[in-house]
Amino acid sequence: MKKFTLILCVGVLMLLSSCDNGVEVLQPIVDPSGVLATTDPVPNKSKPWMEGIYTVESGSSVFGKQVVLKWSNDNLSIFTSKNAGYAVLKGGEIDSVFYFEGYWRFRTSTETGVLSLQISKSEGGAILTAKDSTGGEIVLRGSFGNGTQPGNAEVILRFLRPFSDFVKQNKFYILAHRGGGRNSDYLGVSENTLQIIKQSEGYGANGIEIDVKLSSDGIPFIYHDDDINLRTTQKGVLWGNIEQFTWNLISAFVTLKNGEKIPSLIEALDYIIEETSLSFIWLDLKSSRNEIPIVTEIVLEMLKKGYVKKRDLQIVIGLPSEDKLNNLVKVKDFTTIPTLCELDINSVRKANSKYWAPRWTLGTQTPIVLELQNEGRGAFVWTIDDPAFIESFITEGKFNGMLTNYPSLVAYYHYTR
Amino acid sequence: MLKLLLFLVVISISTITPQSRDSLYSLNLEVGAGYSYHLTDLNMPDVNLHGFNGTLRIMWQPEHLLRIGLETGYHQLYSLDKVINLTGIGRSEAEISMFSIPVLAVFSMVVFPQMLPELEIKFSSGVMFLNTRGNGFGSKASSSQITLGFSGAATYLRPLNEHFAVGAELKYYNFAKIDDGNLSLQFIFAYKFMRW
Repeated sequence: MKKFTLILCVGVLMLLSSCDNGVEVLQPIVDPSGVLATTDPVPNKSKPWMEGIYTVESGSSVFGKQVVLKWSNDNLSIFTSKNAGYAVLKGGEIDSVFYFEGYWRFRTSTETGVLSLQISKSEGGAILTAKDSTGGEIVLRGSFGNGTQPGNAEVILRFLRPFSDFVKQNKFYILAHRGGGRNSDYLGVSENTLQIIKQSEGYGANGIEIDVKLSSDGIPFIYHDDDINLRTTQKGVLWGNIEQFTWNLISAFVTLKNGEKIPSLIEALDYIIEETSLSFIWLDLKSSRNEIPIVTEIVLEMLKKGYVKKRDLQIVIGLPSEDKLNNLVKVKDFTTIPTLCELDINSVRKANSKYWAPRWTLGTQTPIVLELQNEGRGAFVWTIDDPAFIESFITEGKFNGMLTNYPSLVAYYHYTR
Repeated sequence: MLKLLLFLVVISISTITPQSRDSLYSLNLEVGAGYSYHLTDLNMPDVNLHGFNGTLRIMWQPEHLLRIGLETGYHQLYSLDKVINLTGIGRSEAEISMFSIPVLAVFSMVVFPQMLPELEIKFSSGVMFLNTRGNGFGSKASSSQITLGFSGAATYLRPLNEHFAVGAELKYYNFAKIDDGNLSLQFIFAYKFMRW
């Protein structure tokens, strides 16, 4: 009896501790009136010379032994293998001195802190601003802290080498899950929103996967779960299966976890084209109904828009099940629709999918991947978060890209190849 | 299956029959109706949190202080009626309401049998069917979902005669999935419809 009571108590404690206890990760905010207010934007010609692999001479408690520096739009990102860590910094330059302000974060935990870095004129600043620069030794010095307060722990990053020719010549798609991250990653913005899409490039992604549902009046929108719930939304007046409500009711009454509105598919794709450099969008169809005709119409329209804007952009419609494949083949000229098939390779050929996306637990499957690549298709693997598997799939596999919740970690292992 | 049924019958007879000689069992039907107030941290000033609450319950009342039963009912949780302005869409009057239908196992106990035998403390646990209805921008929608839930109540029942009793019940419901509660005060009518 005592044993039973003990097991019951442990069970209840486990159940209670599994609940979301309202963890809040404060992202340090860059002070707009700080040092960057007095600087000019970092010249675009300087950015490629900063990118590469750096040795961590000081600050290994956060950055490990080696990091990757990579620019995405106006953000300088740092990727480390330690705890899937990353840093996102804003930069500025004045008199050949470069200043960077931002934050670091361990993706596998809630640890975060302020980070400030500087490249002095004599340690790379002059090289980076030279008219006909060809790069050279760069040293970033600065400090980091824990939490929102500026810290005084020293960090020194010394340029080791640029990215390899393999990395430069072979595009590898780092696809961030749910637009950039899940709510359980505590990124300060909600999954599947315009806000997380905006941040995804800073995390190392050059593509994203977003989930598509269909409102009762046939409007595709971005949302993952079947129902309106406290994992994804703030407390509101609408509850139940989200697909049973009209788009106007959803727009008016559903607020996502961090205060955002649910974007429609058109809003999301338009935002990606206009506001990001993301080059690959995987639409994961989640509707209980046949959304393929309407989604296809929107995708083709947005691809045209991307083409006009000279955007390097692919948008593919995911086929996660036989049902979706059967819905696809009912559409006229279905073989011309850009799709990504998660089923077997016969289904890939039947749908004439551009991409095959097997689950990672099936292994690297190199012979099949090569076979499909010879047919002019690509292959992605999903969803890998374990550092050891990420490393082995990147080094041993032949995939064209990887779907992950830890894009910074995939970026680290890819760019250090 | 037949063996199992036979076993259950034998067990039932062996447990009930000897006791029935010197004890009294009954089945009570309890019907309640009253006012409810929805407890929520929902930050929307236009939401009406007042509503109607009804209860239908069957209780097995043995000679012991502990009683068990089944409960269902109807609870109006909240309603909203306001004009919404959506960018690019326009203005529309929108109506949203939610009600729940619980299906609960009830455990009830007379906690002060000497001092206050009319007072029962109840704990119930089970599932609640939550139904949301929305109406706005020219269309209607509704959706249902199931949540786990529990309730706690204090019931005072004063017998009128051998079969009937009336009283009041103060009850708190909790809806796990939406992390809300509901407080109700009901008038209760009880009818002892079977005795053995």
